[in-house]
Amino acid sequence: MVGCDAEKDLSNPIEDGTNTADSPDSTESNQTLAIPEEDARYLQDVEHFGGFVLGDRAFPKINEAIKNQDWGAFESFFAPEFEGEIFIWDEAVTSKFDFASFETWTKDSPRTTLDRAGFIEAIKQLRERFTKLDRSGFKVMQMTPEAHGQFDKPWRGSFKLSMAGRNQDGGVAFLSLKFSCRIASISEDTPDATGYILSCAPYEGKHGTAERFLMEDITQDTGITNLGLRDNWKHDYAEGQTRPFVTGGIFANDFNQDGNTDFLLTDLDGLFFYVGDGNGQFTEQSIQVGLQRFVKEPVALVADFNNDTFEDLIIGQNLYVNENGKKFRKLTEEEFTVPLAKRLGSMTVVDFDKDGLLDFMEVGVIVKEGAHGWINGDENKERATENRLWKNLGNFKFKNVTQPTNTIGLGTGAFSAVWFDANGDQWPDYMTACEFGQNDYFLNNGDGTFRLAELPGSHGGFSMGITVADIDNDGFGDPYLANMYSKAGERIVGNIRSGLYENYDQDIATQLEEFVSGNELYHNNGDGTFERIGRKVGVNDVGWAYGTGAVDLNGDGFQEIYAPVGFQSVTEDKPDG
Amino acid sequence: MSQPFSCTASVPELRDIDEDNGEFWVGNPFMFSNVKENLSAYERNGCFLNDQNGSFLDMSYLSGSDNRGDSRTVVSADIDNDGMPELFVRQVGGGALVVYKNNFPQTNWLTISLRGDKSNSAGIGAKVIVTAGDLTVHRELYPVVNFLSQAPANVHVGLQNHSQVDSVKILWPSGEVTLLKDVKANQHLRVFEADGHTEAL
Repeated sequence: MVGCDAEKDLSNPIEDGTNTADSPDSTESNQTLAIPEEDARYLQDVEHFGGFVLGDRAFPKINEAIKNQDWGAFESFFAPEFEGEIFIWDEAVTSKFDFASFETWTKDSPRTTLDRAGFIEAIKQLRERFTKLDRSGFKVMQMTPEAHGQFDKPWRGSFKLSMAGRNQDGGVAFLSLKFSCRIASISEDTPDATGYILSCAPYEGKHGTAERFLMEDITQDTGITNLGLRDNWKHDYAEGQTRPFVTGGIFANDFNQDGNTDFLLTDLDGLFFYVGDGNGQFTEQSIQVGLQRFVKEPVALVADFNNDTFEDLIIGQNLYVNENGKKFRKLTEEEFTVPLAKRLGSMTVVDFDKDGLLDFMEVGVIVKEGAHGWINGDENKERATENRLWKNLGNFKFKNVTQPTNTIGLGTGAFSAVWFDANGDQWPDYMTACEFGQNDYFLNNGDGTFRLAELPGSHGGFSMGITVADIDNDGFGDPYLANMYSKAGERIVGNIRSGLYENYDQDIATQLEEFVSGNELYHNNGDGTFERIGRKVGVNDVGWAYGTGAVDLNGDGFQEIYAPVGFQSVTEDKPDG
Repeated sequence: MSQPFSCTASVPELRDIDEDNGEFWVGNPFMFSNVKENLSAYERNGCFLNDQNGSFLDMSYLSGSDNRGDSRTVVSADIDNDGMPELFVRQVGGGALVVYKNNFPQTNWLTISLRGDKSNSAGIGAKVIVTAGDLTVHRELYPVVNFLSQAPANVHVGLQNHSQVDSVKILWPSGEVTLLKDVKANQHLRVFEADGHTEAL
């Protein structure tokens, strides 16, 4: 029920799902707990009652009552002497746009006190804002016994109430409210019990409306088909087979220079090349452009390496030269001699020395199985991964300049890298998303070498993906990091935090907090130093995230943030880790 | 459930699990993809509106793009040349690729592609500064690889209601500077480093 990545997957990012899993016995079971077994057992008990019994078995009934507007049933979950608070809705901070309106409330917003009947009525009125409910939720966030070990006494915690759907104006709307709360007790009988919520008070609220959805799924109308692409939800994996955590990628290009975006889709089940017509339509032309459909390599790169203006491709370990925007031709082993890695996070393109030839970096090449530690990995300093920088010498010849440039990175499991001029000296710098420790952040000295620079925070992030935006248009890029996250993990770490282990090693505690703090936005101070503002500006709370996007969706000149999330979905309406 | 501190660790199950009601145990979280259990499952993608004041508003639901697949990466590209970028979301489950059309109210826009001379041909690494009235937009031209994806090698700039751009300044990697004045909005231009001329795409 913890959130982190699968060792099997890290050891082979392009795992094809056909290998048999290692026996669990092969993992070392020593030094597993940095806390005594008695305390670990207690944490498991707390998560069982707070996360599973209350969260997965009891609270869904409250959600059903709200959804079905069964206010008699809803009332039954609250104690007769219940004390509630609710925001004074008119006291919201409002933000209005020509396409949507938003209201927000915080812990400092005015609230009013209500008894049980008043609170039920308040929630009823919120529910009645929706004429059709698309979704709703009543989810445990944190839950801890007030007195250590006393599960049959009151618990304190928090939950999130959410609704979304059609509103009375015929538009679309969502509402989410986070409450702190007090629960009378939790036992195996709680899912069938009544009157167990003693009090609750909101500390964060969001409400938004729009006349209609601002984007729409048009996949079916684009000419791009999902047939032939791997989908874990449909693919039949035999017992013991791993479910690959990556199945392929998407690489934009304009291979024929007509100004319309084309796409290479890589996939474990074979690649596709789609040519765009500029009217939203794509035609599959993999064979016509000289590619082979059976190439099953997820990692690719688009770059014009020979400066003939036509974008070339690297797919897997091969380089395909673009011949006049008509065809790609795979270079022979004599023509392209770079021994590209088979197992790595990604590749990225840059002209790091500004000589006019595009260089490239292999990011997160796996060099040592399982060398990465985890949170307390300090005793194991072996490098798990390395970045490799290849300098373009022209004529598709490249030189490995990783060592002289000092760009190998920290070896902490890099998945992807962004290049940007972080400190305004007009030289490209790089930052990576690293799974197992501090993210690489290297500044370009302008003389062919790089130096490690500081990032705020003790650890970095357990990062899976990274993009760079310029959120305030000040000319200095602001990286946005996608991080691992799990709801159960946040609850468990929350219980460690809440004073259970006062002598807990502070460094580890801080790292654990970062592990469950969600995505992070690094705001550039204008000199290549950063402030972490993800939580403050509201872009951290998404889930288990991967590659992120910065894009100006509403055409106002400022970039929005899009955060793809979700690690492994297997069975609907079953507990989640 | 307890956090292990080494990725090779396996935390023993120290209490009975209520399997009848779906509770499960994974002693080593790194083995998750070997077991058929949910981990951060059916989570909905986040979409956050930049409020122009350094903060963001959660428009995930209103955007209609917050699907609950197991998403891995996103690329944005204006595929119908209306200046409003679409989203391409690549997933390992719940639909391998989902394309979202942009239905935000139409604004003015400018897309810039580059043709380097001393610089690399695509102008990768160039800085593009677009000024229209009181709006100044800064972008660096990098085809960002956020995770197994690559963005188009161009710069898209939303211009609000400005139908004319006062200036487009390009700082090429070579050190050359190109300055374009009074550029009409709503077009995709290729700018040439060699002599500063432009070509409409």
